[in-house]
Amino acid sequence: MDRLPNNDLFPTESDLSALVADARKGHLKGMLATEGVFLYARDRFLPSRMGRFAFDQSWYGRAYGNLSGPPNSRSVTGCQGEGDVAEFLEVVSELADTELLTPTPVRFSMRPAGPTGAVLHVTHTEVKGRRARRIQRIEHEFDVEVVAEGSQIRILAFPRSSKDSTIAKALFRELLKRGALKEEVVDLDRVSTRARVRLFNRLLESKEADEWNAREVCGLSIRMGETAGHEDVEVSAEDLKVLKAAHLEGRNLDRHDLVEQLIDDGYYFSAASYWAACIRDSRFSGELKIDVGFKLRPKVLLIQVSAARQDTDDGRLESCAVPHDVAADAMRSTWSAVVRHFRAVQ
Amino acid sequence: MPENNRESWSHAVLFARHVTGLGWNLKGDLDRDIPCPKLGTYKSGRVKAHGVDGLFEFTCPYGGGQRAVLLEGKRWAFRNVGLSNLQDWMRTLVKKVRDLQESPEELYELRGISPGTSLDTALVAWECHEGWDGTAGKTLVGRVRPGRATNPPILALISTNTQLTRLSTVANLKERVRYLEFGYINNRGLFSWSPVLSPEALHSSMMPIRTKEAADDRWEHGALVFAEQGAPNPAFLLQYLSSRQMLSHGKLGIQVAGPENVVQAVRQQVTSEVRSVEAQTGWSPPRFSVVPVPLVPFAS
Repeated sequence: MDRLPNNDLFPTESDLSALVADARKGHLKGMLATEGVFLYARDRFLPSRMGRFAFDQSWYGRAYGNLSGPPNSRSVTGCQGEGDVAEFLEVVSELADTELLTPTPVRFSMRPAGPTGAVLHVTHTEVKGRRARRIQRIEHEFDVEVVAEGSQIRILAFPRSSKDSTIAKALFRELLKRGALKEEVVDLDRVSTRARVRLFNRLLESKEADEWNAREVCGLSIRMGETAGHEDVEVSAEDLKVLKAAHLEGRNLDRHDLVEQLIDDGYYFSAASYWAACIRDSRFSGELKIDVGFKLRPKVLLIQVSAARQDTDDGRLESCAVPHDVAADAMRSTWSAVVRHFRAVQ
Repeated sequence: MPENNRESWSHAVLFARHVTGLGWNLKGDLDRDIPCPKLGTYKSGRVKAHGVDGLFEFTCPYGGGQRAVLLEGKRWAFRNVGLSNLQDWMRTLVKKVRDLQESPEELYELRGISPGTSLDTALVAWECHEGWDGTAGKTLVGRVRPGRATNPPILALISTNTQLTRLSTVANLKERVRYLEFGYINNRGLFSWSPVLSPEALHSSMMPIRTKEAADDRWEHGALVFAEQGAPNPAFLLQYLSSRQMLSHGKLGIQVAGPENVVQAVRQQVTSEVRSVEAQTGWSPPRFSVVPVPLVPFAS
């Protein structure tokens, strides 16, 4: 049985405040739902309302245990580039002794995996529940796989939280900065603004050659071209609706009036997020949410599988845990697709 | 099979009989419409109405004011209920609560609800008369999700056989002991006793109680613990009783509703835990007694 922090205490209202502040809301609502309780209330009302109930210990154990346990969803983030694996691993081992870029102390340990690969084990500490007495120092850990294929090195991080994801991206950025990884295959700066739009257009169109076909576009980010220092700008909800409609109708994004206007104004697409289904993978029949973006500087291709959903018995799509192995394969497959499309639009 | 009107009505009658013995007042008749201007009017000009199985009012043990609960009674077999049914029942009932919150005049006039009463609770009482599976039922209800937050907040409850059995058990206990009160921490953080079984207590697995059989008798303090699935952790139970200021009494009767072997386990574990704490801290504990309470099925 899960143990409550602080020696099996029945939670006080301040304990419940800490729980509401730190827990994932969906998980908490689901926990309450198992007891037949549904609170239509803003977060600030939840602790006092929850304090009126007395569930059994295992309920609180599960609710608090989830704060330190791994979340249901597990994403995969990665980048790929050219490099010499021995040099690469040397740089990584140098990084293992440094505090990496983030205010949170991060530690690495590295172990070889196969003749041409390695696994970095990343750990960092997070403090939760500062405002209440249930202060928890939670050790987070995640793995980063390094795989060498010829002159190509692929790094796949398997973060379990957004904080892990930030650390993984910081690691990628540092490796690029130190020259351990040269991303020359997909360099967005090498192609015209129109070609960049074509790249996303091809990716979002369902192509039989791509294993993971886009089913529903969730978001597109645009960036001002050729000018340094501009951040990504989300396409407005209204415009996204128009673009989604265009995508569903099979109209080419690069010939769309709105896109023409965006290109004329100096913008190009820099990231896309979409639900994709696999046409060949029999291990998972649902859809994965794939985020493809060029977000670091230099513009490194980052691919993330951030969520998964499956059909329920009553025909609805319900979120589910991201299957680790399927997500990693989806990432690799999407990577190849982006590279192929990039070569085609050059 | 889904409910028919007569079964639904008898189900609501039983629920009403139980809760009215536990401090709730039935306002108006069961299974009657409440006109609601929010729904608009028919061509004839008559105001459309919400069908309401039951409307109850009681003194809220947390805030001290009057509080109202809207009841929707359902009597359906397990195999006929899916997630969409539960979702639909709950959302429909919450919508009725919202509508009536916004135009409460009809409640005041037709149902005698006093102005200032807070209608903030929607309770779906689903009696599963065929094929009930406690674990599967809990999982199914656990998949229902509430809609958006409302202001003022609304508490919606889906009471299944688990909670309805607890209700019958409490009602049965009340009939046996005649005087039964429940302990609450009110909104000011103070502990108080009330003869009202709050909807929150109905969905709790343990509650402080005090009982007596005649008006002149002294109150006997204790707790009612529902242990259908197994014995509660004794340390957790003691912590709970401590948080409800129950350990200052000289005698505590823990009434355990569950199978006989579970009652035995609770008896042994509580005794051992109390001795252990006593040895470690020198604390003089109350005299504990653990007594079984029969679980009474809710059957309309």
